[in-house]
Amino acid sequence: MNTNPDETRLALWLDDELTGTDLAEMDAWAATRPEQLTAREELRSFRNMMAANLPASEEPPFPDFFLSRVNQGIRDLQAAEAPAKPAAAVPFWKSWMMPLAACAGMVLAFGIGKRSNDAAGTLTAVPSVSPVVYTPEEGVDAEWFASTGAGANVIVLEGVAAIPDSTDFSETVYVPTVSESDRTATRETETSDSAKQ
Amino acid sequence: MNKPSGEPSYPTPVPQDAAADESDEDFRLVALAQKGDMSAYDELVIRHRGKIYAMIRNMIKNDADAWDLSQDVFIKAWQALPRFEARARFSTWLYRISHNAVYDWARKRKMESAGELNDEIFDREKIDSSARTAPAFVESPDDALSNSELRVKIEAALAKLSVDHREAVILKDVQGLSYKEIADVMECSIGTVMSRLFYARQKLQTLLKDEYESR
Repeated sequence: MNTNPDETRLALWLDDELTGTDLAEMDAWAATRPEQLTAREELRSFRNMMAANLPASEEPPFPDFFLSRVNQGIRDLQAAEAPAKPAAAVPFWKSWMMPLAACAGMVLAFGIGKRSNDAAGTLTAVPSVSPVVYTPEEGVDAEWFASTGAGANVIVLEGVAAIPDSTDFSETVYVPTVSESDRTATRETETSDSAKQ
Repeated sequence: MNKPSGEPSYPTPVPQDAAADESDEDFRLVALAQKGDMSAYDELVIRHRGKIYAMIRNMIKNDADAWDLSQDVFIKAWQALPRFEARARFSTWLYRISHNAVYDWARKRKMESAGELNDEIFDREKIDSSARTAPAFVESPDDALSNSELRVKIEAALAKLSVDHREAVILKDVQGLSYKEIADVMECSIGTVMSRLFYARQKLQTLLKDEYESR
């Protein structure tokens, strides 16, 4: 390199930004110019001093909290932007087709409902006003009387044999024992039994 | 130091392997984040938050505001991520957003104080102690030891530079960006970057003459 470099090229060389052929040419040019080599060394020294005393990278305090704040900020941003998004354009055919389809659906549903109502009428018996009383024994008639005034329902059975006085209702009716109705009574019963013995 | 002038024909610096690998990984994570992968974006934040925080802190000399501004940078970056086209390194793009954030911060402080925009707003003593802040933190003993006297002198000297000059020297001599990257970040020509760097370094060397010559 016989000619002097332009100032840009020189500045890049001084700041160690050149590489390859560019660097080799500039090094060859500066080899006979000690003042340029000194200037480059001074600049390197200055950069080293700056880099040694001011951190190029410094983890922010509370790095996890820092990251969560960034995430929260992004979520807030997305939440704020969401309502602002314009609604998607509805195609022309959809603008009149959708109400029409809705009306057709309503008519169809009404028609199906009506038909099913009519069909149900033919299949199920009309419920009787008074209930049917079932009697498993032949020759027994049952009548049901309801008195709304008295608030009572009475069933009268005709043809049932008289119930003898010796009938023990306790065998047909479930009556809970003392121990079943009161768990604390077990011990009392046992105690009273043992006392009898 | 020689003063540069004129608009250069800038030779493209060849990236080093490590830096290239780092950029490749950044681009991979960016592509995932652009598709909505939040964990990929978290990874990008973790990879770059140290550099961004350090750059902003060196610029404004206010730890709490630097903490907040750094978060704003990553939130704005997320917002602008669909427009990131990988023409520059992801970190350079973040520095550019940081540059805007710092200048907005300075402008806002100017309006709040209703005074002139000057370098004094970056002076530590001039900063309002009741400024919007993140959780307060105390410097650890280790950090206090590393925060040497020379660092304090350098910071004080930096505070006397104009914002443009300070940013140029921080991006170049601390963050290690190339001239072209600094021009992209500061949205100016490479010639302007060279000029700013020349004057900034000259002034710093004068202010730090004792320290500088004793080395």
